[in-house]
Amino acid sequence: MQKIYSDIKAMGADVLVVSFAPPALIAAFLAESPQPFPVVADPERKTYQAFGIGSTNLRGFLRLGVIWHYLKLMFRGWFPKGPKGADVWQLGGDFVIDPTGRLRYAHASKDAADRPGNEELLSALRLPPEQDALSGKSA
Amino acid sequence: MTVALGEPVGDVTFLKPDGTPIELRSLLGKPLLLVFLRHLA
Repeated sequence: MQKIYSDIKAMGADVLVVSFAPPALIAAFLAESPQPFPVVADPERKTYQAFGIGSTNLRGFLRLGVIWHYLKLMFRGWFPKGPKGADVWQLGGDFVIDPTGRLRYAHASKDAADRPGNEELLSALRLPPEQDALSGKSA
Repeated sequence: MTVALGEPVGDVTFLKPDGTPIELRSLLGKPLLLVFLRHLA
């Protein structure tokens, strides 16, 4: 996300990152690892449910693509350090809301390695000309 | 109920790291990418 954040801001769009961790845990994480974008909490996962984001299971984790995804992350120095008791089965997703509050793009992850590419996200954020005019930003 | 493509997202409230609420509609007016995390780190 950090890789395309500046591109997103440059096109006049914005990012909101949502975690199901409690606010205090997010605050501790941000104190240790500041992020350029806002991170908010949905500890009851109401929006996870509203956007159709489900959970995975052990079988889902043992898929070759998921194992390869996490091996690559670990080769780059990443290791999971979530709190004890964290829900490791919860999946994530990426969604674009248009300026009027309507859902214009949805990608609920099907497994732990399933994320849309950066170009797909940037394309989803680009407004059609008529909406761009409404948002006050010229194309 | 799942939000469908093209439909209004409706009233959605999140919590900021300090615990205060923030409404999604206060962030509208430009395209917004919502990224739902699996884990924080």
